[in-house]
Amino acid sequence: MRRLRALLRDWHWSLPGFALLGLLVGLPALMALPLAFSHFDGLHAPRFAGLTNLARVGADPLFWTALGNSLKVALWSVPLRLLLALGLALLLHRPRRGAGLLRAAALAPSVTPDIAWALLWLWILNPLYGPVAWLLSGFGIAPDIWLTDPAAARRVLALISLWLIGELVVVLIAARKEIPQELYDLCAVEGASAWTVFRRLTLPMLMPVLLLLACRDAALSFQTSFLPALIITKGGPQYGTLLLPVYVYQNGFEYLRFGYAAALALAMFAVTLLMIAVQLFWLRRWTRRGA
Amino acid sequence: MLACWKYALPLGAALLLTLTACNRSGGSAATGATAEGERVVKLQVFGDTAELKSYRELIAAYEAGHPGDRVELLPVGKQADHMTKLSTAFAAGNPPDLFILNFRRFGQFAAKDALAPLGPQMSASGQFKAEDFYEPALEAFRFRDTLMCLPQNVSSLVVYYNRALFKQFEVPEPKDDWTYFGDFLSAAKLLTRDLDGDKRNDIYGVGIDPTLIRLAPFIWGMGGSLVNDLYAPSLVTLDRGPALLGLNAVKMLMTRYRVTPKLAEYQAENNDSRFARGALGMLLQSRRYTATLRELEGQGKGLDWDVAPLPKLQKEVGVLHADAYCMARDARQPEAAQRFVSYALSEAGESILARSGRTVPSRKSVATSPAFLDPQQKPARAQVFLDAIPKLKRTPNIAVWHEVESKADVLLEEWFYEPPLPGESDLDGADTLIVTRQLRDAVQPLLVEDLAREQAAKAAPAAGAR
Repeated sequence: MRRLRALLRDWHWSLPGFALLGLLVGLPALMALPLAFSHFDGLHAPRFAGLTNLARVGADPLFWTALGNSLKVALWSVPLRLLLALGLALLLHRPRRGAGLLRAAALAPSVTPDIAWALLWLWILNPLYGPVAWLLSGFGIAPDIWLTDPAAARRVLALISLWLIGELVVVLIAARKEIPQELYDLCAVEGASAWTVFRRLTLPMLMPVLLLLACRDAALSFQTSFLPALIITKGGPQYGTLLLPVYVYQNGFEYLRFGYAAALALAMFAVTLLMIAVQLFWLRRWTRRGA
Repeated sequence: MLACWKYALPLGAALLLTLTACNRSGGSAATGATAEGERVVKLQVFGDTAELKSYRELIAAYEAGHPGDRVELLPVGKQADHMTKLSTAFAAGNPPDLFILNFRRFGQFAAKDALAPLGPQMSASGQFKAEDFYEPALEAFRFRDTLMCLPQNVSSLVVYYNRALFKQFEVPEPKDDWTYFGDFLSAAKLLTRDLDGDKRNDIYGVGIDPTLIRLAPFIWGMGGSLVNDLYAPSLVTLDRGPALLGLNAVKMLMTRYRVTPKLAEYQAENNDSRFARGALGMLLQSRRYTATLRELEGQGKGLDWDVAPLPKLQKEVGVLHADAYCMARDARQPEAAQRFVSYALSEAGESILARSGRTVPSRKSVATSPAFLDPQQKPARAQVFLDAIPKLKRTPNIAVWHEVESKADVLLEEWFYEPPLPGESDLDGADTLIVTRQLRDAVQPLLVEDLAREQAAKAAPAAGAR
């Protein structure tokens, strides 16, 4: 009982979040797991299919296309998001006039409904009337490049993901504030340049947090890219932005293959776990070396 | 201990509230009856505001004449979202009693035994007489020889044209027997204009969505076919001679004559809105678009427009665009749902939707009545839709057809907007051959698998009978 009481004392603010997470994410995910091993069209009771769906995933060329696309988008978006968030955090961590407003501005897009900003981007990227097209044409770049070039379309999705870095900024501001001021005073006494301070002090001290955020962001990029890929690029051109979550959605809700969609989701989960494992391995190695 | 309860109670209450909110299938909703004894039929439809308005009128008229029956409209904007919502509702075990399905999507549900056979049921109760309706629409909704859904409309692809632009540029208006290579292309060229001299066309001659359903009549018109067998397709046959000619004929609009919006322009503004703002001379669309144009007229943004038949290639042929009322096998109020369908398909019910402009009525008597052919309402040449009916062909209504079209449309859109291969003329159609072979190979496994499933399903009752 004492242990439970201690647990509640330490974690009571997190409990509602955990409960909702369990109810709205964990439970449905667990319930979807058996679907991956069944034929389920949503119209009849599921029939056991063994490993058929998973075998089919491996032989499905569109699955590999979607996986490749998702990884390529993540490869662009994760470093860019972290870089931008780090820059903003370093700019905004000091209490100065207007900093609160700017922090709120950085966070605001993250709390905007997804559909609202997706529609906004749809206008921004309009190949004739959007501001991006106008800017690009000034540099002699065809304004419809993301409609015809799959690689450009993926980069557009990565660009859109930069919009949602509010949480990263908040975490990095907190992490920056944790670095003792004495260390910076010492650097000042030693006459270190701003670049040296950043390279030798700030970056190493923030690195564990940055790596953890990279892990989280890599996993998250599989999910956050769903809506723009569905609404803005619609999986095109030439399947160039057919991302895994979009392919899962199509199979489940358009073609009524919920069993196969669950198998695809399971594969997506496995890939995400693998990505996190690799990054955690690096993180652990890095921290050991640092120690 | 008390501390535990301090946290547990609010948490428990929150969970209980959440679970209660999630439990949508309990109580009266499960039976479709309200406390006052009303029978509530849920009807899910898709359409723009003009279309939904006409559904609301239909429901109001039905409820006024049927005390105790209530129809709850579940409106969805786009057909794709309508299908998503429908499949989610079925998967959750909470499907609407009635819903609208296009014949190209209905096989998905019919093959999986999710639909109640409305035709036999309502014919047996005397609520439906097949001979009162157009046969092409009925035929499209038969699955394994059973009429599963009852057709609400028998629309088809026609040419909407901007009469003001035709007059302004002195282009002769389309005649009933106009031809593709002569009259249509010539009109498209004359209508395509760069008005301000900025080397960008301000008005395009024709707008066509490069999708399989839109291209189909051109393929048929040149004597080609989409599949090897309409009722049991195992192969897409677009890579064969006449079909290739049909596809090349359409591609010329983009590559040779440049009379249709380019990809960037098409993505920036769809053909429907381009036509509505008067920047497109001709638009290939179905009857649904009439309701939108009439709505714009009501807002004072009307055009001077009319419709013409599809231009003739080698053969005169059209493509069916029919929707039907379907009932879920597990409908909670099947009798009330059938009463509503009976009313919606009656002369009174069909007249309401016909007056909105949304449908070409499936009931012959309404289609030939002033409700549809009202000379005071646009289009003046509404008879065009009726004249097209005997020439209509349709795509297969098999379970995987929607998926076939989805895969085909990705490839066809890319093909349509791409220039011809280097060193090739657009008339050679080398890129057309490549894309149709890609398409054939991409969808073949789907068709073969579906055919095997269908043959097994047909064999099972036969084996049972022996």
